[in-house]
Amino acid sequence: MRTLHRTKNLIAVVFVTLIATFMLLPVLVVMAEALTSAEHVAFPPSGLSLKWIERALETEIFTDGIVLSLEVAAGVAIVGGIIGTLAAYAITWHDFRGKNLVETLIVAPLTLPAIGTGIALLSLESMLGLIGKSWVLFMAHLMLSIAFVVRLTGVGLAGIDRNGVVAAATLGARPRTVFWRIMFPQFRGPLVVGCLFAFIISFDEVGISLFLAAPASTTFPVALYSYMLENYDPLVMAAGTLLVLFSIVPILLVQRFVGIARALGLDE
Amino acid sequence: MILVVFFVLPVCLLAVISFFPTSPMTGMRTGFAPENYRYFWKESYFLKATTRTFEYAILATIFTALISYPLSLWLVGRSRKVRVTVALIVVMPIFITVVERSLGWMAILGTNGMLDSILQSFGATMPRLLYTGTAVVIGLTNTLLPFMFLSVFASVRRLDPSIPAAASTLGASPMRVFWRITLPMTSSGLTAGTALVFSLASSNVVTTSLLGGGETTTIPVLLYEQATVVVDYPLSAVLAVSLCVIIIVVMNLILRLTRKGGGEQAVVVPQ
Repeated sequence: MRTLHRTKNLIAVVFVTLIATFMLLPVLVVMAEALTSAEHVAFPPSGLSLKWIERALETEIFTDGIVLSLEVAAGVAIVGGIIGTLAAYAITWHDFRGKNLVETLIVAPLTLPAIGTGIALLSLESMLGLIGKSWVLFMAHLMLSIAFVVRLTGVGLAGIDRNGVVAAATLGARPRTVFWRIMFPQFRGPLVVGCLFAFIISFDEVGISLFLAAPASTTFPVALYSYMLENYDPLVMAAGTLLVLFSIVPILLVQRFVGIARALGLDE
Repeated sequence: MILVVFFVLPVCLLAVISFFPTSPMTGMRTGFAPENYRYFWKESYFLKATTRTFEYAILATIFTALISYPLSLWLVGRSRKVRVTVALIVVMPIFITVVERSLGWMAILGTNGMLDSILQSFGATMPRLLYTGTAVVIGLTNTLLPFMFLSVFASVRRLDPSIPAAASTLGASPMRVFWRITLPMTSSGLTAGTALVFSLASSNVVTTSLLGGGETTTIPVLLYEQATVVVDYPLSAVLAVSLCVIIIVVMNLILRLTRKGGGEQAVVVPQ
């Protein structure tokens, strides 16, 4: 009985280790290959140097992509945070006609495969002569992210004690004071997480961005993808590593604010 | 509202464009050409790509489910620390774009890649993996596992462990407990994950085009080429509409299937 139990445990540990390797290996391999000092990608990577990282930071298609991606993602986080909060406030605190429709619309972009939205926006751009305008890209990312902000902030807003709000108003606080002093502190946490998620979604998005890519509207992941279709060298690995590093920052921020495990619902 | 202008309008437009005749200069012109769809269904090339698309999607869905389910069952019995750590390892790659992870698989599976080099040092030769369907399925399973795991783990964690325990106390064999209690009570997460992974896998462009080759072309990859290289908007619209309709129908079928089965309501827990 005991040996059976031990074998079972061993199988479980091997199984979990294999899964962890399966998930982490692709990310780690790229980082290892990026630090090579050789001219070609080979395993195991030979030498150790930062020269490919430096070269990636000097390559215009990547740096342009990084700048655009960061701008769009930051914009999406801020504007998405504002619009998302307003929408969440309307949905959780008020009843109005067409509320169901609004809620459906907010999640709709997430249910349609990205290629559908991508080609739809591209043909719209071509009809209106807007091909390659980066603000269309921004709007596309915005509508993908809003659902997350609305959901997270909505939970925060729903948790606010309405008696406190009414009491403050009765005691003579102006609506603005009520909002900033009573309500805002109570949903600030979920809002920050929602904005960070919006940032990450925008920064990582490729499905739609692929279709909207033109010289002035190529995001970093798309630039890397196009480069990868033709080249396979340590420079790609370096750019891939930069991509990971940029993605890690917002994740660490989420971790600081609420704990990433809780934000994902993996921890109680 | 923004959503109407940037989502509803383009999507309606897409359906209209799919009927437009192709124009070699601007990609399309206005008109009515239902033959676009006939072309799609008659050309065996597209039909082959369609079956391939769904073959990869189904395989990726099965593999992600086969990994997520036992993993979730094992995790609920562990300490909080182990549970959170392992769950995070599985889910975190969701935040790293698929481009980077596909690149990782290229470095692992390619000629002179990691796997190849390791096998060579043992004197073994590796079969060609990169640019085959196998690589595509591996890549899709890897990129979509977090989505399946998140929904399966959520429903497995919600299961009250005293219910299967009660069943086995009453004499049910472990197999019977699993098939009659555990699986039916957690099927909602499994189906939600299945619908999501299936939809994402069958519309994937990046992983499929990077890890696959010419003979693994799928509808999303063809669509991307038609839209950006060939600049044939009506044909890409036809592909997009056909694909999206199939995906949405399949998703709804999957979701409805379990709702009919009763799912969680099947077991009445005495208060």
